[in-house]
Amino acid sequence: MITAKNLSKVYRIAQPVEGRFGALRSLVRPQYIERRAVDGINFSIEDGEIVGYIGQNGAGKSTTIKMLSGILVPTGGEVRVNGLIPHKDRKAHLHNIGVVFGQKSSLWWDVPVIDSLRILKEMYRVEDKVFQKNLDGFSDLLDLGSFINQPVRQLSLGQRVRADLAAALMHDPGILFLDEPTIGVDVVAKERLRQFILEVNRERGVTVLLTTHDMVDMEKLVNRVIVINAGTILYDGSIQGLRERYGRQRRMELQFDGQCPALVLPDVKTEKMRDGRLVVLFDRNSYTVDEILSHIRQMGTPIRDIVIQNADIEQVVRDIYQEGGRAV
Amino acid sequence: MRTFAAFLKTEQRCMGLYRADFFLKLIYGMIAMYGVRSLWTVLYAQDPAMVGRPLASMTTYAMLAVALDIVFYPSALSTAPQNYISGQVRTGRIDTDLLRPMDLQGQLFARNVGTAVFSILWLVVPAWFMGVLFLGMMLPPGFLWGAGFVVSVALSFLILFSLNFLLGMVCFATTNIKQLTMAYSGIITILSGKLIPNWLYPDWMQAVIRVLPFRCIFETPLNIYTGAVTEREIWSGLLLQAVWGVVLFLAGHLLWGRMHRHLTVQGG
Amino acid sequence: MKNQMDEFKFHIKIYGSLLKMTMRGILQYRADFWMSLVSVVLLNGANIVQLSVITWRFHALGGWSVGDLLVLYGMFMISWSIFSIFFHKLAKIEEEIWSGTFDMYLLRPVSPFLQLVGGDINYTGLCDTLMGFGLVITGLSLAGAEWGLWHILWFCLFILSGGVIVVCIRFLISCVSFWTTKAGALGSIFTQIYLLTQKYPITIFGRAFRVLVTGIVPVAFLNFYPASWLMGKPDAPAWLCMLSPVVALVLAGIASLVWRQGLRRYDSSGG
Repeated sequence: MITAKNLSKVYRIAQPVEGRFGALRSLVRPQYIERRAVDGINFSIEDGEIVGYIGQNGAGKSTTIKMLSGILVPTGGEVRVNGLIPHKDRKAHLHNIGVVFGQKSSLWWDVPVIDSLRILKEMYRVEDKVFQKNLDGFSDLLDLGSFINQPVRQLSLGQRVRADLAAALMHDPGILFLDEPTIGVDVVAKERLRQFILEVNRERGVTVLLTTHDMVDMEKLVNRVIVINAGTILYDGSIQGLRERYGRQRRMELQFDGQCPALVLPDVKTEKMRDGRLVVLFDRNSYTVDEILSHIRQMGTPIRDIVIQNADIEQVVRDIYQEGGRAV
Repeated sequence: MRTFAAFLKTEQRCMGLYRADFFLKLIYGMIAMYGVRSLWTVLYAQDPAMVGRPLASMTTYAMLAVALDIVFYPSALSTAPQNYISGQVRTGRIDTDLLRPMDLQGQLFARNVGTAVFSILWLVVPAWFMGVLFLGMMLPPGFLWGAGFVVSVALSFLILFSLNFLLGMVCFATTNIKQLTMAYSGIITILSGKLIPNWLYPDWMQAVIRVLPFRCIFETPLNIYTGAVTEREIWSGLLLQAVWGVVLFLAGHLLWGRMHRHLTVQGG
Repeated sequence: MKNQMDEFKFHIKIYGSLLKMTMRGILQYRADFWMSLVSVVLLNGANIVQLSVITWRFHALGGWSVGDLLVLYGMFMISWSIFSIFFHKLAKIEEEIWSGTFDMYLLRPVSPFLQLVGGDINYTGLCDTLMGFGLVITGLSLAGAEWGLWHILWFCLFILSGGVIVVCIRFLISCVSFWTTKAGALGSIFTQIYLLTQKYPITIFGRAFRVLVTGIVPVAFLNFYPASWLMGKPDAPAWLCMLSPVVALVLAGIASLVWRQGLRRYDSSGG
C-alpha cells in the first residue's frame, strides 16, 4: 500500500551570479531560484496493482520515484509505503522495495552477475534457502543462466535489465519501482521483460509502479495510469478511461475511385495522401461517422475502402502533453 | 588586433579553458613558484657560492621555470602531438589521418602554435606578472635580454614540439605509451634545467647534458632572462636552439613520411 | 549496545565480501603490476634525483640530510598509498553524483560509505607502498639511523595516522561536492600543496605556509612531524610530532560529521 498525500518537492537551484567576480560572489552568497518539481500530488496504490506513471521528461516522474524509494526527502506532504515513511525508516523500507533504473545498473560493473547477487543477498540478509529458490525461479523466467557468470559490462542492455530485475527481487520485496525499465531494449527482449513483470505480479502479488515512455508497455502491462505534468496529476484511472476522456479524436482513412475530393467542415482536419487517399481527423463528440460519410457521399466520388481508427494511446498521450491537460 | 582577439577567443573555446580554470591554474602556479622560491632562499643561505649567482637571479630562474612549465610540461597542451597521436591510435582513428594526403606534422604544429600562444598569454604571462608583483621576481637586465628571452621561448617551443612529435611517432610502435610518456617527461624534467639548474650536476653529467637538446628548452631562455649570459652568448644560445629546432623538426618530418608510406602500404 | 555491535560486525562482514568480490573483478583485468611499478618509479624519480643532487651539493636542505629527506618522502608515499589502494573511490563522489550511481548506494540497506569504499580496490597503489618502503630503508641506512622497537612501533602508528589523515582530507574535499561543483578545484589546490610537503621539510617555508599545513590542511602530519621525531631533528617539539594520531582521530570525527550533513543535503536536493 502506497499513499502520497499532498506530496511536493521544491528544488533550489543555484544561479550563476552575473558580473564582476561572479564566481566568487556566488560562493559567498549564492542566489537560488525555486523549481516545483512535484506540486502537491495525491494518490494511493493498493497491494497487487500494476500502475503506470507517465509524463514528459521533467514532469516530476523521477522525483516522485525517488521520494517513494527514500532517496529524496519531500519538501511538503507525506508519503507512506507499507505504513513506513521512506526517508525516516530507510533501512526497514529498503527491505520492502526493489528498484530498477533502466538507464543505470545497480550491479557491480566488473564482476559476474552471480557475484553481485550474492553480495546483495548478504546486504539484505536473505536466507540461503530463499536465495536459492529465487535464483532458480528467476533463472527459469529470465534465462539468467546463460549470462550469470559474465561481468555486467559484457551484457547486452536486455540482459542487463534482466539481471537488474532479478537483483531487485532477490530479497522478496512486496513493491517494485521500475524507472523506464524497457528503454533502449529491443522488441523481443521488451516482450520478455513484460511477461516477467506480469508473472511476478501475478504469482508473488508484487505491487509494481513503473514509469515508461513506451505505450505498448502501458497497454500490455498496466491496469491503471497516473499522468503527471508539470508536477501535478492530470489523470488517474484506467487506460480505457484515459482513452475515452482524452482520445475523442477519430481517424478515418478513405480510398476513392478517381479524384480525391476536398472536404471542408468546421473543426475537421483533412490530409490528402499522394496515392489518392484522404485522411480525415474529427472529434467524435462533434460529428458521428455517419455525418462525415454523408458529407463525402454528396460530393459524388465513389468510395472504395474505409478504415476507421481509434486514436492510439500514444496519440492520446501526445495530445495531453501538448494541451497540458486543458482538455479536461 | 581584432582578428587576433577573435582567434584567442576561439582557441579559448577549443581548449575548454574557462575563467575558473584560469584562476585555478594561476593559483597552482603561484603555489609552486612560492615553493621553489623558498627552496632556493634556504639553499642560498646555506652556501651562496654553490648557487653561484645572486639570490634574486636564482629565485627568478626557478620561479620562471615553474611558470613556463604550466605550458611547457610535455603533455600540458591537450593538442600536444603525443597526446593526439596516442589518442588516435587508441581509438583506431589514426587510419583517417593516414588516408589523408596531408602533412600531419604541419597541421599539428599549426594547432599547437595556436594553443601555445594562447596558453602563454593567459597562463604564463599572468603567473609572471604575479611573480614580479608579489614574489620578488626580477625583470630582465636590459631590452636585449627581454627580447632574446621571448625569441628563445619561441624556439624552446619549436624544440619541445619536435621532440613531442618524435615521441608521438614512437607511440605507433609500442603498447606502453603511458610508461613511455612518463619516462620522457622525467628525462625532460631532469635534463632541461627546470627542476635543478644544470650547473649543479656532476661534471660528467654536465658534459652529457651539453650535447643533448633538452637544456635548450628551459636553461637557455631562463639564463637569458636572468641575465646570466653576455650579449654574445644570447646570440650563440639562440643559434644553438634554432639548429636543434630545425634538426629535430626535420627528423620528425622524415620519420612521419617514412611511417606514412610504410603504414599505408601495409594497410596500417 | 548489543544491536550496535551486531550492526558493526555485519558491516565488517559486508566490507570483506565487497573487497573479495572487487578483487575477483580486478583479476579479470590483470593490469600489469610491473608496468605500474615502473610508472611509480618514473613519476617520483625526478624528485629523488633533485633531492639527491641538492643534498650532494649543499650537504643538507634546511638541516635535513639526504637520508632524512628520503625517509620524509618515503613516509609520505606509504601513507598516501593507504588512501590510493583502499579509499581512492572517496575522491570520486562528485563523479558518482553526476552519473547518478550515488543513488544506488542509498537504495541498499547498508552504509553508503561502506559501499563506496568497498566498491573498488586499486592494487597498483601497492607500488607506491613498495617504493615508499624502499625509500625509507635506503634513507635510514644513508642517515645511519638505528631504530629500536619503540621507533618501529611509532613508525607504524605514524603511517596509519598518516593514512587516516590523507583519507579524511581527500574525503572532506570530496564531500564539498554535496554543496557545490567546486570540489575538483579544491582537490587540485590540495595537490599543489602536498606536492611541496611531500619532498621538502616545511621549515624551509614561511610561517603562514607552516600554519596552513599543520593546522588547516594537516598534511605535515603525514611525513614532516613523524620524520622529524623519528630522525631526531630539532625542527619540531616531540609532543607536536606525536600528536599525529590525535590529528587523525579529530579529522575522522570531522569527516564523519560532514559526510552525514552531506548525505542530508543530498536527500533534500537530489544531487
